[in-house]
Amino acid sequence: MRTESSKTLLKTLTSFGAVLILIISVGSCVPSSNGGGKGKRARGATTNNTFSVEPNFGRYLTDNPIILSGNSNLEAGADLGQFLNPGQSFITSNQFLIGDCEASGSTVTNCYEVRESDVSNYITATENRWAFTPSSQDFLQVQTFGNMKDITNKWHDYLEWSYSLAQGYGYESAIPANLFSASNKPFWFTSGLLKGYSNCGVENNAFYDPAGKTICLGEVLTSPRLYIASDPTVTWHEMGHAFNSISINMRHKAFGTNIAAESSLGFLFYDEAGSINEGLADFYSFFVNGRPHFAEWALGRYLVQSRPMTEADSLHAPGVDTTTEGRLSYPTYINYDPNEPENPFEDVHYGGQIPSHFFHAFYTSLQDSEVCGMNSDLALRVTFHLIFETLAEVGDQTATASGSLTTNPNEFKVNLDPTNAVEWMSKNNPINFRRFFQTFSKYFLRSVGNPLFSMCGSNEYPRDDYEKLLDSYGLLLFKTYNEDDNNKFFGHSGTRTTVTPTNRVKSELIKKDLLKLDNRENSATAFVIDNQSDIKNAVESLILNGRIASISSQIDGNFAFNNGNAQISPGEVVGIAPNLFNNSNSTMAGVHILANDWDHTKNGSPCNNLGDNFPLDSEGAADLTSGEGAPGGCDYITRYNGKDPFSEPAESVTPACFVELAEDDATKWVTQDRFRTSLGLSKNNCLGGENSLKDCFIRAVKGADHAYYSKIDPKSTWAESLKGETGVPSFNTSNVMLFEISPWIPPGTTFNCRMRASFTNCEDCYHDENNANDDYLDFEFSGAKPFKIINFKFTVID
Amino acid sequence: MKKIFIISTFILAALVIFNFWGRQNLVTQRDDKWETFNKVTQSEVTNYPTTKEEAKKANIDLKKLKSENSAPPLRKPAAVKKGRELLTYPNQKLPKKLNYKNAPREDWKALFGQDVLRFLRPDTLLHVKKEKSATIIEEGKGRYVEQVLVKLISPEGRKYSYQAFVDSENGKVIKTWNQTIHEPFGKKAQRMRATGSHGADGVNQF
Repeated sequence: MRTESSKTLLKTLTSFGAVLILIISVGSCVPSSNGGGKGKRARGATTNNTFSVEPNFGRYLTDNPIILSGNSNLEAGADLGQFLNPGQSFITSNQFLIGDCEASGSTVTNCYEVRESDVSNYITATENRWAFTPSSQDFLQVQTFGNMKDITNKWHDYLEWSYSLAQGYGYESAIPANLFSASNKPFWFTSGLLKGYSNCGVENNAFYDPAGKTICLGEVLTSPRLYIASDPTVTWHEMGHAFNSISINMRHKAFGTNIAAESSLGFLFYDEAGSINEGLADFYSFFVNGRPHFAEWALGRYLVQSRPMTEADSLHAPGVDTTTEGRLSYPTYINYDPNEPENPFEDVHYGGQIPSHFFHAFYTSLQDSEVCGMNSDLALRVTFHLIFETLAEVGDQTATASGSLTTNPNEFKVNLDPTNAVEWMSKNNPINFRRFFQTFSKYFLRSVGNPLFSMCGSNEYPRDDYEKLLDSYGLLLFKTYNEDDNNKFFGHSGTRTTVTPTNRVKSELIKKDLLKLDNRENSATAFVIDNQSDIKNAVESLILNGRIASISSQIDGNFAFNNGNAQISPGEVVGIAPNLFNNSNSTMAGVHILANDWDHTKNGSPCNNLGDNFPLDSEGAADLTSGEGAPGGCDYITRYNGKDPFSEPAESVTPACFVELAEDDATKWVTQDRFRTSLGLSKNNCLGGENSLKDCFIRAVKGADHAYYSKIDPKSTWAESLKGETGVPSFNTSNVMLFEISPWIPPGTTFNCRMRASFTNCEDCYHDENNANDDYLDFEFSGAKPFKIINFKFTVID
Repeated sequence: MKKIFIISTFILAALVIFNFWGRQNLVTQRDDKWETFNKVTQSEVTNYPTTKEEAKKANIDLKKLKSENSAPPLRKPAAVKKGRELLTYPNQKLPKKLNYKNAPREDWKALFGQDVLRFLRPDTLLHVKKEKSATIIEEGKGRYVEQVLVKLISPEGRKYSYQAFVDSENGKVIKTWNQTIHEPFGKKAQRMRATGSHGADGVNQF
């Protein structure tokens, strides 16, 4: 019995021992998430194991592996441990990767966090330590957290400095006085938490999601995979988008304005606001590592898409250098990809290189002893100070621009007024290169360019030097610094500084009348896209990206009426790209076409005193013999964009498209509602239903009611300007406007859509020559003056 | 007989209360949670509370029920009418008596889901969560709206997100903001080929 028991015990122990050995041996084959022993590995790699760091400390890459290795051909599977600094960094004393942030004594608890993805659990420190094997997902999370922490701390430090500078000098600043004291903490997100996902499962992609306050870092499809989080410059770029979002929304948040729709920097697949956003995001990589090149690892290594920020970069094409002539100037380089200079590409990331290069050049100039002589730290702070000021103003939904936050209409100086602010910054007077750099320059004059402050030692930054630098980038696109802003009462009353005309050499300004529909022999006035599959794809892309409002329920869900016959037919959704011709000898850029509602009618009839000779008096033009000079008149522009029935009951804005109506013995251009009445069509059958009678038959899809062309070469159209566009032109979603065509339109009906166009380097789209070239006042962008009117006439045919 | 009458009255009252209060409450509860709309075929859209598996794919945290983006107003408490926040711009004037353009419906979210997916391909997933109900003012009239957080996943798995105002009656999207900024690693852009041109010589089909 005892022997049996002993045997059993021995057997059990043997089995247990075997299992134990097996576990140990198998365990040694599985990579541990927290590394092995202490010390250095072969090849000089830092062994990032648990006890190689102090409690609450860990290690992460401080730049991307290409830079840290010095090897531009580094393989995706390389051991990242080789590039870790033997020193250690404080990560967090929290249980999870959750950090607080603090600025000017105000703390945001749970300011940012990192997980692998939103549904992953938080990782915890091992023995209170954050050192993990560099090939592990845990390491990637610490990596992302460390990168987010570093840039957030530095950004808040700079923002605090910027605030102190503005407050200290006491000039009219856009940075709100209560930035750090407002209870909703406008120096961060209202919701508090910014979430970083180190491996969010997207391929060849990373993104910033402002709705979910999320930064998502995916992977590059290489074998083995390259995790984008292992390139800190991409994390900083995405954080840059987050900081831009905070900056552009800081004034109305500080005021506690009860708005929901946040301001954005970029509204289309391609526009200049989006390019500025990308350029700034690239510059945020420089902000941290002081190296003017972005994403050599994640974008550069396998995809050949990294981007420089200085003309001195060897990646640039011949001819690009740091001389005045060689700068990456607007608009020449707006579609320039240094990796493929022979293939221009209309994309915000490449367009963003012009601002990023300018920011770097400005930062460098601040250190030039003959210009300003600042040290590099101060130069970077001043550069970002001007960026903060600019973003705070251009995105301001209080419309007060700078100084006190108030609801007093006398202080509405930008973006028209709070009701119309988003419409203004996106469409009517949009954030483009001109507006951004004019605002940047205004704050330059108020601070580092101000002789009273002597920020450059005992002097100010000389204005001539500044204007010449801006001009070397083709960005001296304004005639005054517009210090008196655009208020409807006082916008021409204040003092303003005039740009020295001789400083404008590379920045060419072109008269708006030189932009027109192509009227050369056998040319097209517009391109039409009405085939089912292209419209389907375009609408899908716009809906997925949240760029458009609802499409009418009168339109078939499968675009069954889209017949691809190039005619505009009942029941279709059509893309229309006016074929604009640049009749000047210079390149036009930032061409923006609007099909949104505007002030061009009187008592329901089209005004014909707006410069386009439409329509003739005999064709139903508004009567100009009475009621002029007052609200409702054709020579009076609404001060409220037609949206204040209490202050301006006689004013309204009207859709772009009129319809031809045969009445009695005459043919007249009438509003769509009048046409509906003449047809006896029920209100319910209008595209927008009974509440939307003005655009009953033809309606520009909201969000796709404006289009953008990056540039048009001299004596050319956009399609001709883009190399590679031979034969039938193709368009991205920002190049066309989408129109819904009611199925109730009788075939044979003729429409005229009266659109408005402007461009960034326009001489008379912004400058009011009757007011010493001061900028037009904001309300005037409801009307015709700042625009070239583009009439597109067509007949609806089945 | 009296007992039967009392019991019947009690049951009837309970039913009435459930119908008007309980149902409303159920609707509201579901309203504030993530809901998935799946375009199964071109003509069929199904909707149901977002599952854990879907939440995982869409980076949705089902535990967080409170709005992550609604800002507490600082300057003045927002006026509330019928449980809704009145969202007015600082310069916006209100009439003495507010007339409304629309009337809220309980099924606005279903209508919204149908509306968004109408033009999207089958296998597109829409996840939507109400952030708040509000009233906005348009040209002097009130409009009931729902502020929603939207997440969309294309059939290829690409993710999109934004916020929107949705008409509380017909579920139509009125306005969108905070769209995702993608970094497309690769030089591909959606292109549309012109089907024809309009010019002085008429319409030319390509």
